[in-house]
Amino acid sequence: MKALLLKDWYLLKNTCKSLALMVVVFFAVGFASGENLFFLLFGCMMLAMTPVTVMGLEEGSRWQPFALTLPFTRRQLVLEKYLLGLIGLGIGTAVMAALSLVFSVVIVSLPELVALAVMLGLVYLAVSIPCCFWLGIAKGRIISVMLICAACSSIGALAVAGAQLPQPGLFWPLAGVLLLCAGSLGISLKIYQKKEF
Amino acid sequence: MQIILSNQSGQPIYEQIATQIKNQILSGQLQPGEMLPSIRALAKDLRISVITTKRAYDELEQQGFLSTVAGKGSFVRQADVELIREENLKKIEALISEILALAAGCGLGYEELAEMLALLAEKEES
Amino acid sequence: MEPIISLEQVSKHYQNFTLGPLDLSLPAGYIMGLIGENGAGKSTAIRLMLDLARPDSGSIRLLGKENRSLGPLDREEIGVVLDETCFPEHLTVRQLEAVLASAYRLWQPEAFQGYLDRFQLPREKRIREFSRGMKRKLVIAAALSHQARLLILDEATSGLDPVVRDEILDLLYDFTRDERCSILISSHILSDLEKLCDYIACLHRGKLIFCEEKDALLERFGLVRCSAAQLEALPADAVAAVRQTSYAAEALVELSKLPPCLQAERCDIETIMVMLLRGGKRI
Repeated sequence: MKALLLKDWYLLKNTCKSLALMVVVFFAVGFASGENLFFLLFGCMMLAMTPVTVMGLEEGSRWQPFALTLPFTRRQLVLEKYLLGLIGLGIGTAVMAALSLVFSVVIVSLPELVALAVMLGLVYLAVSIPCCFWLGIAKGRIISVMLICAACSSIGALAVAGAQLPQPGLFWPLAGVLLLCAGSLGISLKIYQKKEF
Repeated sequence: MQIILSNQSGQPIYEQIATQIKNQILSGQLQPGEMLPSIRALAKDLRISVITTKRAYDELEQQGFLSTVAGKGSFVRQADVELIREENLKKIEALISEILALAAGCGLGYEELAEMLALLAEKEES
Repeated sequence: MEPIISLEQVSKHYQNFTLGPLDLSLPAGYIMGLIGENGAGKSTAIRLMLDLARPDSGSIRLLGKENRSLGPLDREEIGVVLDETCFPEHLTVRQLEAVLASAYRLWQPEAFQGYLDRFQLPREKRIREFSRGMKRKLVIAAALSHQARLLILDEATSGLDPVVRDEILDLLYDFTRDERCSILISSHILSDLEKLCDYIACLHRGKLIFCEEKDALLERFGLVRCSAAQLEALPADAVAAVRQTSYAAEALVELSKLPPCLQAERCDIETIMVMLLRGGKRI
C-alpha cells in the first residue's frame, strides 16, 4: 500500500497545487468572516475529496485495470483510497483546529468544530468512495459533490439560524458515522471484488 | 559458427540449419568436442522459434553429428570416418542419379557414359 | 511439467459477443502468439487470464494455480503490458520508478535504468507528454524489470512504427534466453509474431480456429495459384480454403495431401489465417 500512497502523493503534488491554494483561501475566508462555518468545513472537505480527485486523474490511462496486474490485492486498492481520504481529512482538520486557536471561532466550540469536520468528512468518504467504485468516476464525483454541498450548506444554515447542538450529542452521531464508514468499507470491498474490466 | 537462412528456398528452416551445421562439421570448420550454442541462444540470434532449433539439433543428434549433455549443452561428436564416408557416398549417389537423368534426356546410353567416366578419370590422374 | 498458462473450456458471454468454449495451453519456456482480427476475442481472453474479468464457465490456471487465487507474490512473476497507457499519466518517469520500486520486492533498478537509456526516455518528463511509442516502451521496460517469468502482452506493438516494433521484438527475444521464461503475446500484426513465436493460436469471433506449433503450421500448408479449371482438378481433401477472383483462383492446400506433381508455394502465417478465415471451404 505504501506504493499506492506514494503514487497518489505524486499525482496530487503534480496536479493539485491549486487545490492547496483553494483550501487556504477557503480557510482564510472562513476565519476572516468570523461566522462562516461553511467555508471552514468545505476547506476540510476538499482535502477529504482527494481519493475521488485521484481516481479522476487515473481514469484517462485506465490505471485501475492495470493496477490489478501489479502486486496489489483488490482489497489493498480499496483500503488505500479510504486511507488517503482519512489522511487528507486529518490534515485539513488539524490545520483548521490550529488556525482556530489563533483566530477565534464564535459559533461552536473547538471540539465541536473538529467533531463536525471529522463527521462530515467521514460521511463524505463513506458515500463518495463506494459511488465512484460502483458508478465510475464521472457520475460518482458529481453525486459526491452534490452531497457535500448539501451537507455543508444545511449545517451552515442551521448554525446561522441559531440552532444549538444537543449537549450529549457528540457521542452518538460520531458512533453512527463510524458505523457508516465501516459499512461503506464493506460495501466498497464487495463492489470492487466483483468488478470486471 | 555461421548460419545463413533463406526464406525463399523450399527447404524448411530446421533442415537448413541442420545441413549447414553438418557441412561445417564435415569440412572441419567445427571441430570435434566443440560446444555448439544452446538451442535458445541460437533461436535468439537467428530470430526464430526455439522449437525449430531444437528440431535441427535433434536431427543432427539422430544422425550422429552431435551429442547433448543434459545441463551442459551440445557438442560436436568425434569425427566418425564411417559417417563421413556414408555422407559422401550419399552425395555421389545423388549426383549419379542426376547424371543418369540428364543422359536419358539427351539419349546418351550407359556405354557412352562409362566411356566418358573413364576418359575423365584418366585426365584426373595425369 | 504443468503448462504456465492453461485455459479449459473457458467461456464468457457478453451482450453481443461470446468467447469460447476455449481450450488453450502454453508450456513453460515457450512463446505463444494469439492472433485474430479485431474483435475476435484476444483481449477478452487475456483479461480473463489476468482475472480482470471472470469466466462464466471453465477453469483458468496461471503459474500452476487457479488464477483467482494468485496473490501479490505471484503477480510479481507476471509482467503485463496492456493496450493502454497503463501508468498514471501525470507522473514523471522518476516518480513512477519510485512507485514501482516500492511495489515490487524484486525490482531491478539497474535493469530499468538500462531500458530507459536504451529507449532514450527522459526521466523528468511527465508520461502524458510522451508519444504513443514511448509510452509503450515505458510499460514494456517496467514489465521486464522485476524478474517476471511470464510476460503477457496485449497488442503491445500496435500503433507503433516498424523501427520501434523491431526494438521491442529484440527485447522479447532477449527475455526468452532464459528457459524458465514464457511469453503470451497478442497482435494483429502477424509479421511480428511470425519470427518470434513457437506456437500460434488463432481466434475468430470468439472461437479457437487453431493452436499449433508455428513451424508445423508453415510446413502443413501451401498456396496454389491456378485457374478455375485447375482448381477442380485438385483433390478435395487437400484443399483447406479457396479464394476466387475473376482471373484466377487461390487455394490453401495441405501439402501432405497434394499429389507430388503439383507445386505449391510456401506461405506465411498471415496468408494462412486470412485464407482460413475468409476463404470458403471448397465443397
